[in-house]
Amino acid sequence: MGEGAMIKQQIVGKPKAVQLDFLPFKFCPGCHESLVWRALGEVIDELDIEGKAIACLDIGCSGILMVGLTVDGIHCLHGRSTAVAAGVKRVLPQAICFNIGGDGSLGAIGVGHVINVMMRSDPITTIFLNNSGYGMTGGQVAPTSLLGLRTTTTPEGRDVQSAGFPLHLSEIAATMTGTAYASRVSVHTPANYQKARKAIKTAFQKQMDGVGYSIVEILCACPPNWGLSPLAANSFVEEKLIGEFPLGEFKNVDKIEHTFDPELKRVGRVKRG
Amino acid sequence: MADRRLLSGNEAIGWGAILGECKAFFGYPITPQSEILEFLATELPKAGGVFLQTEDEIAAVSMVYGSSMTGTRTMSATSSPGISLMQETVSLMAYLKVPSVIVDVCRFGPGSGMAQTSQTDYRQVTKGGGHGGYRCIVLAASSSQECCDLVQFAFWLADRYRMTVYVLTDATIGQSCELVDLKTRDFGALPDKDWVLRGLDERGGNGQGIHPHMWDYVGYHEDMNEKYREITENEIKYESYRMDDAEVILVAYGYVSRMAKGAVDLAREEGLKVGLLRPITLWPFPTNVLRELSLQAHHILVVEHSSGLLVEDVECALQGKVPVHLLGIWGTHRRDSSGIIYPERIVEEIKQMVGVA
Amino acid sequence: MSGLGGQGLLTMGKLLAQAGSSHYRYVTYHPNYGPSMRGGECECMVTLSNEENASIASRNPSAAILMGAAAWMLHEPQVKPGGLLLVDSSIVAERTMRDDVTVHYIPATQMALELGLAMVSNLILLSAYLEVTKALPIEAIEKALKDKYTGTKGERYLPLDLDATKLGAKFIIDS
Repeated sequence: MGEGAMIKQQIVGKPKAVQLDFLPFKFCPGCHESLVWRALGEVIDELDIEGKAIACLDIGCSGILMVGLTVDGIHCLHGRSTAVAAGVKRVLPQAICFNIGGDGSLGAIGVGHVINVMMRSDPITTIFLNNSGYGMTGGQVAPTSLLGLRTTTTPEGRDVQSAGFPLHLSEIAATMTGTAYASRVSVHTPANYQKARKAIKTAFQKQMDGVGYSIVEILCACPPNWGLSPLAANSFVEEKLIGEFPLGEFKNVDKIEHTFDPELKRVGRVKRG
Repeated sequence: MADRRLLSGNEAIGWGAILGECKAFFGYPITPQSEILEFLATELPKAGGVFLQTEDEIAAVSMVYGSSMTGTRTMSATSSPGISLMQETVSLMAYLKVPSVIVDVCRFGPGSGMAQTSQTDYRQVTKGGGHGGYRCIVLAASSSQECCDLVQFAFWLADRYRMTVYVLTDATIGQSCELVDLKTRDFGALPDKDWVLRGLDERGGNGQGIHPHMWDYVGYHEDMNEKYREITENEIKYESYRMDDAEVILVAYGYVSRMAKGAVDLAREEGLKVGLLRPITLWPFPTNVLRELSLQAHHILVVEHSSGLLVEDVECALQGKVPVHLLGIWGTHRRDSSGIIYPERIVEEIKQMVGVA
Repeated sequence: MSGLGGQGLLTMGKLLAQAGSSHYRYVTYHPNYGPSMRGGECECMVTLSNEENASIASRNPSAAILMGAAAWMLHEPQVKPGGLLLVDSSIVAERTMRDDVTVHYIPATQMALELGLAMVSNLILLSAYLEVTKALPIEAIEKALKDKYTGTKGERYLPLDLDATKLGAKFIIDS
């Protein structure tokens, strides 16, 4: 406690939406989630949405983020934060609903909900943290793990025969009509951090403008599970992760164009009591 | 004049939702529940509510959770396998004390089973259903009228006790049509929903939805036990039919209780003193009521469309003081899933039991 | 009412129940069918009564409309003594050996085909049932048909439907 108080005293400024009860850090040294935390706080301040933001937090390290934000937060089961956020948004359209999850939550167990909110164009925002593995459970292989990467459940490295190929969720999102915005960013350099912040802001803006579903995939370092020092993990993002997961905007539209054939309304079944 | 219509149990459930001020429904189609979905797809938006057909039952119940968290009266409906899929979130809602109403139009199980009627899910819903040792209130409807009324009551109970309330029916009740008086039921005042999360601008605050009992798990279970005790004291509902001088007591719920009622009438015509106890709340179970009624009885016959699930609660209530017989799924009129337990079959069983040829 | 999916058994039962709603205090319609929409075994039971229906259904109905061989096997022995059997004799070749029931063999599907649409065989049988039992005036069924189909895709068949309801009743009167 004493340590936490000391750290607090040294802080000269912080986003309003960031909560200091969170100190000292609950993240591992070198974890990039703290930067995502700050970026979210800054964006929530800039857009002035603290009062109407509702965060749906998935299970995993991403769930820890909740304690660090002042906004209303809903604790969700593993993989279900996307569906919960969609449910909240349906009954409370004025809220800014976003969910945060890792590659286990949103890439594996809950990937079906992600595809379905894209399909339905639910105007919610997903913050997808990709650290190439399962963080909280201790470094098992994830859909996003790099080929050849050693994990606790692929001790000889991820091989194609048993674990297949890395999942590219942002690229998938870009192919879906209902997606308004999909981009992949990183936070491993100050310049990239600024881009990430801008991407999160754009994603929220799409939701506020009612365009459709938005997703920001953030590449994050996970030093303990990669078995690297914080500095080496930072370089690993640059040297290896970006190689498999190129950064950039995959989709950014201000309006989702669509047409439908009025004749179809006359085909099909309707039940009458 | 009251609005009286010919409605299937499933349609009546839809009406119950609308009269019960349900403002959001999330669900996935499954026979024999689909008419609820189809009804609400048309009618709920007209009543100012949100309807969504989701990608699966897990998404449906997740959305029920999110929507209920905002204080909105929300419902889902499914059938047996769908109830299994929903259990993780039902458990979460029990932990976070989030009200919800879930309708189970029971079908034939286990596994994918068949879409026809059965009562094979009694144990699943009455004993909580998921992990963590929680309970849900279970209301068993036996007519279209009751479908409409019990859904309204379920919303009231859910808000009153902040928990999941199941309305259990079966394919027979769901598909059969009867005349229903569409009436709004009033069950009394409810506590203020001071726990909802709608953003800081309205109500709420960080952390309410996270881990309220992280530092006192024992306290959670103590609180809940107290709540369960209160519910058991106040909310037990049952119907007893021609019980005055009954020497044989039938115990049945759902569609089977209707057949059992028919059997009581048939048996009485033949001079047999038979009555029926029909639990409406399956949890809390009318244990004491049954115990008291059994003092006058020579035989108890449990009739259920399963291998014997309700009979466990009956045996537990009677503690071996009166012989308990079971007419289970083998009492159906055919061996495939279209079988039904008819009143005539129940009368045969009664005669055999009391030794009348 | 028992036969195969697609023969209009459930429609017939629902119509009877709907029409009965304004004439009886208690009405129950109880369907039972398999998973396929067409071709599977299918049946329903309707109870019209002024006393509360204790039971939703009975193994021994007072009347049965049978439209298939399997339905015949299952239900012919079960109808109450003194009861009524209406059989679509264009489909069911069997003849009852029972002498404690009233039976009408009606070539309903054949009659419906001659009228122009096999689908109305159910209405021929239903109106025959009403003619025998007088459970409801035929007009109640005609009203229920109009209520159900006016303004829908099925409206174009309404004249044919109404013809069929007359035909069934006529068959009983003539026989």
